[in-house]
Amino acid sequence: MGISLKEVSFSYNPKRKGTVYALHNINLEITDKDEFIAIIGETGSGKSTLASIFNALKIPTSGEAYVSGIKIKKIRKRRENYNNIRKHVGLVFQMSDYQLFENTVIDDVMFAPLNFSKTKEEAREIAKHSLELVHIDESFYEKSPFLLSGGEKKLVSIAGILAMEPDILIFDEPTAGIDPSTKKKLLKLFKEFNEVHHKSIIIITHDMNIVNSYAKRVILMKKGRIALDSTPYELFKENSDIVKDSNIDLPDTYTLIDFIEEKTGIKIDKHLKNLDEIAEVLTYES
Amino acid sequence: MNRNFVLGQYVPGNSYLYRLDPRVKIISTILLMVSVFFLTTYYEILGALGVILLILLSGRISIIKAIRGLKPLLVLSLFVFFFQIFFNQTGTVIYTSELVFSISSIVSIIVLTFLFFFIRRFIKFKFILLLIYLASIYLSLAYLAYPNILYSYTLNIFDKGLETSLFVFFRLITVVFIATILTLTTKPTDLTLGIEYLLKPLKVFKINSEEIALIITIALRYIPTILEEAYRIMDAQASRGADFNSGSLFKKIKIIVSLLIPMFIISFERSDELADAMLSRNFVPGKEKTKYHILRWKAIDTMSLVLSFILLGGSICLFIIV
Repeated sequence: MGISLKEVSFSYNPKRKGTVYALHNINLEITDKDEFIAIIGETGSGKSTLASIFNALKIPTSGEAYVSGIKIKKIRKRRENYNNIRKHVGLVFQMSDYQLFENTVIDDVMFAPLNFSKTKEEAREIAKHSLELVHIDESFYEKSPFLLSGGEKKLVSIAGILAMEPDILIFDEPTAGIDPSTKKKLLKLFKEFNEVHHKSIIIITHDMNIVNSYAKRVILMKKGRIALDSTPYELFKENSDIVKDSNIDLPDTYTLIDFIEEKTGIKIDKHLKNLDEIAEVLTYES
Repeated sequence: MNRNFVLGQYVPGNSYLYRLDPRVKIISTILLMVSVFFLTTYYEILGALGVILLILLSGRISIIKAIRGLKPLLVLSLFVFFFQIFFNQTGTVIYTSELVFSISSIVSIIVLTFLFFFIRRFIKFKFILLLIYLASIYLSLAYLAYPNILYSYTLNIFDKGLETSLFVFFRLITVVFIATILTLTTKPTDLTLGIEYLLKPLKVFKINSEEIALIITIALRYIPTILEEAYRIMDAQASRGADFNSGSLFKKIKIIVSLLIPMFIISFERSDELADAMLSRNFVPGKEKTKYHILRWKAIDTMSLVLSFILLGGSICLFIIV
């Protein structure tokens, strides 16, 4: 079913005159299988607001938003909540400190399943499974989450979201403030979720190398509107005006390929996604 | 939970009240409040209220905004008002009425209470609704006596009781208005600057007013930041299925813990970082600092200080003479 937005606008102060809309007439379809989407754009372009609408944390000011078939609208009754949406769409926040609060790692991961009325034993099984998915081994289970390193905290907070068993996973700037080795680990994980477990992945990022080498689809936000919704190749190759307008750096591979072409005249296919592949082509050429 | 929290009541404007030195404003506020407490009868209080309204008007402060400042105290002032009316039994009786508890009146009170809480959600003027609610409870107690009277109570209102209740009510309003003038026209930062200057004499007792002012300033500065953080944390927990609105009390307490622990941890980290950042910019606690904002005394400051002393003197004179 996935996510479907029709003419969605959002403003933080809809009643105030001359209010600025964080989102403007957004039309978007995201399926809940096998997608790998990168949302990019300058700060304040509405990326995070879009992500919180996917998670029903914000309610559209106008337009219709459906997540797994459920319309997001204002809650009228006290008993209602959006847990059926949040079960489908897991949102991992940028700061893992916002999420961790229990005494032990395993308890923290169990928090979500317990909220979805699982028994303690079931919750523990699910928590163990999701910690395994992020490759956190058993020696960590009884540790306090506050004594972990930044990267480990991030993994635990991701496990906390995986424990809801969502079909769509959203990561808000997952690699910000993370050391390179954990970054590699995270990206490998995302690929695994996407290709092995067939989950849809949405990442909000400023890192164009990630966009180029991992994403299958890229959504460029600009001033609350979708400026472009295409593949990374089209974004970087064919729409160079848009790239310049939005102050986007080209990925390393594109810069390198342009450089090589300028210096040696060897033309390399820009579909290549990482430096190893380029090196291979180069050795073959020479 | 209310997400439109606004700290302080400062409303930007441009009148003489805004240009006054914060020190003068603080001192005058205290003087005026003290002088209000020297007044003894309700028409003197009404006079004082008139003076305060004149100050509000001359300072071009909208009365509606000043009345909004009364909001948190409305229920308290109503309570004081009715308490005085019911229990101050001196002077002559000016109004008497029989309050009757019967099955019909009790049923009507229960129905009214349900109606009150039901309508409350949809209506903007909650205070007027409360008044209507109280009035209709009174009416049903006074006139519904069917089928038989279970208990009856004679309500006597005495003229002195009414007088004191009006007196207490208006005194409260006047004092709150005086404080509102200060908070509406002074930025929190100016306020702390004023407090810093006024507390300087405490150096004799080895209390450093600059540090106190710094603490207040930092606390004020970080309230919106920490609030923003709390909302982020609430969102993060809500996206894991935490429900902050419903559930049993025990569940609610557990959910609040999930909000408090990250907040404490983030706040401690933040304060450590802030301390380091201040130290790295050569902040030494207790050392003399030069100031960016320097308070300057103007003629209007002297004038308003003299005026508030005159008002204080006048009320003391009234107190002694009457």
